[in-house]
Amino acid sequence: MTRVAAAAEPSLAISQGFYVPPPNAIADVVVRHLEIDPTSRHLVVGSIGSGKTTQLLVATEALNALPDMCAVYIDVSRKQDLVKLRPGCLVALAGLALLDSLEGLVEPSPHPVWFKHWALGYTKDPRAYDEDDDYGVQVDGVVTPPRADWHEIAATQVERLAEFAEAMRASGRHFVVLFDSLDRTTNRGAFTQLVDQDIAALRRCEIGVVLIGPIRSLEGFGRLEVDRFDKLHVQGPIDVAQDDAGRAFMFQVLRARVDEVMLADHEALAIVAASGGVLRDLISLAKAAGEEAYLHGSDAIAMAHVEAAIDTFGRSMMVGLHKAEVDTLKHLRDGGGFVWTTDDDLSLLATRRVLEYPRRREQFSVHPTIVPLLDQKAG
Amino acid sequence: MPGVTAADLGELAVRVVESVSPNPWFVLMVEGHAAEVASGLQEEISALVVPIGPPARRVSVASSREFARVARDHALGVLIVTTSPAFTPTEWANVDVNRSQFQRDGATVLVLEEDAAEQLENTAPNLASWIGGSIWRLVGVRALSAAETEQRLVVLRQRAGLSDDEVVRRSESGRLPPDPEFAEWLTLLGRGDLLVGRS
Amino acid sequence: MSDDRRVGSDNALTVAMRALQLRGEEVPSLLPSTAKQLFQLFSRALHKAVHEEVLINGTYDVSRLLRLTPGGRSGGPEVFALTGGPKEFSRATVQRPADHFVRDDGGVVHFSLEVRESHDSPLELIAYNFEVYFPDRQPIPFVRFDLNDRGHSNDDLGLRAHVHPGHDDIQLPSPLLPPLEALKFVLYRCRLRRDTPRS
Repeated sequence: MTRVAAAAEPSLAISQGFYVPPPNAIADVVVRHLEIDPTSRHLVVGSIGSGKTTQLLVATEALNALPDMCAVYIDVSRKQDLVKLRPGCLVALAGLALLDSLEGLVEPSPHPVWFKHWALGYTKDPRAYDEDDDYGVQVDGVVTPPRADWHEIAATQVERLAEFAEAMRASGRHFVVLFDSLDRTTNRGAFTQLVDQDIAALRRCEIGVVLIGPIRSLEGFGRLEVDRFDKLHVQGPIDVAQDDAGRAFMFQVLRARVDEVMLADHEALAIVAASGGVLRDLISLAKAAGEEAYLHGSDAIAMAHVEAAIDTFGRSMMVGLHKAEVDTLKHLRDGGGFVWTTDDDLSLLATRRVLEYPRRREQFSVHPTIVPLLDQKAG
Repeated sequence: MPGVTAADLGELAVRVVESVSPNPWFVLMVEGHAAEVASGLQEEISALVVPIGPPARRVSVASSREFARVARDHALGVLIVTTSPAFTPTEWANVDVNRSQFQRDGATVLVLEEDAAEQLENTAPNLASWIGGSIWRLVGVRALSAAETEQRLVVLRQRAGLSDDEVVRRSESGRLPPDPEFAEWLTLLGRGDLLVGRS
Repeated sequence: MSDDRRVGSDNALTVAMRALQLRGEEVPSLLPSTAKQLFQLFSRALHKAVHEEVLINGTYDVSRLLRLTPGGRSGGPEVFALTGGPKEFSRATVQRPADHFVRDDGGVVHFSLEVRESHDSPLELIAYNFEVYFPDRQPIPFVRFDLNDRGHSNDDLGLRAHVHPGHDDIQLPSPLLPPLEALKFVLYRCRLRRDTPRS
């Protein structure tokens, strides 16, 4: 079961050759757009476990295969405490990555050193960080200078970043940065402001951006889509119930990792159906079914093992649900629809107990592993 | 509300030891005594297999920051984590947001009371997605069911050609052989008081 | 079951056996304080044997086949039966391997022991039997370690603890074995020497 398990890690899945491109892969669409306009800005949103990180990694690789592109994937949460994000973080991270890529290509100058000093301050306590000397001071007067769209980011540093990007272009390549894990932040107001300013600043520097954002239903993102991004891409769960191509894709994802001897077609399709089209859940269920087989002393995965894995998965998903939420889910399951109005409803979407399929008429659906458990009492 | 699937410590230890994915996570739900259970699990894992690399480690954390530090300092080997009461839902939200900092090469087992597990599922959806279905409810010792007990008694009766009442009568009057089968028989009948032992 | 009922006599062998028996019982108790703890130790040993493939069973079989059942009278000290695998006298070919503990060499293991718990003294061992049998009778039909309850005639023969080397009516003296040791013996030993795995 190593191959199934290892494939849960996106970078491993790609490097070990398990990647199966989904229909209309976002990576392909994004790369095509950036080829035409290397300074375009792309927002990718989607539910948890739907393969966004994988698409970003695939896009990074594909871009770097092009002779006139230099792309860097940045997992923001690895470099920065996402609870303490503030305007300038993305500019800083982009600049540091760009300087690494430019190593040896620029004339020696103090600008990179100053920029790095400023940028690295973003990982320290903001109160300990020194203001740039030439940061503009607002002066009240008759004529108020126009405020830059990145007014909370040191203007000088943005200009320096623009220089570095120009140096990269002079060497024949456009710089593109792909930001991951910004979809997890919970402080919507501050985040919106940050992304707003940083994306504008990066546009000024003619740096292409792909950024993973939270599900669209977070308020405040509507404005971002319109003003700051050229294209919005939605990576939702694959519609395995109603879309043959989608079901075939998910089946292939499993088949790439587990052969027919270990997992026959019938059992594999049962796992596909139970996943609701959520890629990470597909892998989790396959891994769990394999574990069940092992614990039973079996060499192959039988339907009983798949069913046990599905049951355990569904029970885990129901931890923390209270009665009102169970009622909402029953209502949806029984054909009553789903309209998210309350925080509870949003939570059901965010925690993928309710799945959204944008292309379907009835867009919302209860996660398949929960459906048979909704009527059960505590067991 | 259906409960979470039951597992005993031995089974969970096997799941943990056999997990081969990078960064596997498990949650064990307990009713009190989380530290004691964590210790028991550590013993089970250590008894099962000699680790290649660091031995299983047990920690208690009071904040997401402390948790991140522990995860970073002990990226290899099995890590068994309990949370103190100071670990509020906000802390789970912080873990979720900074999830990448908690990625480890070894298995991570969270031993949690039910309300902590609920907070995790509700406020840390990314982490919950990593965990997937690997949430278990601890069960302890299992006794023979009524059917299983009867099955054993049937075999004992057939072998000895005696009834339950006859066995009890003979024991009470000191005429029952002290063979271990009779000791089991009396115990299954709930007459362990008739066994002699040391007294 | 043994029907060996010679009334005690003072011949040299009997004296020697009685002395051996008494020495065996003086061995400091290697038992834990509670039956539950003993259950955990047995569970651990069985999981390890499964993990090492000394038993061909799956992990789940351990919790299915190992049981701790109370059997004292209410109000009195707790007596428990710790049983492993179904009660078995026929020693026939196993129809469903998952219903028994089966070794990698085909040997079938089953056991039963009775203990008494009291809060002011360590766990008291009352009786046990541990057996490994070979349905095809190779290399030997079975080996069984018995501990009788303390009673009457067998004590005089000094054979309260004894071993049956493949015949229900033949007994050889045996030291009183700590239960965990007896379990490990029937799991890992009682094999042709060249096939004996390391435990």
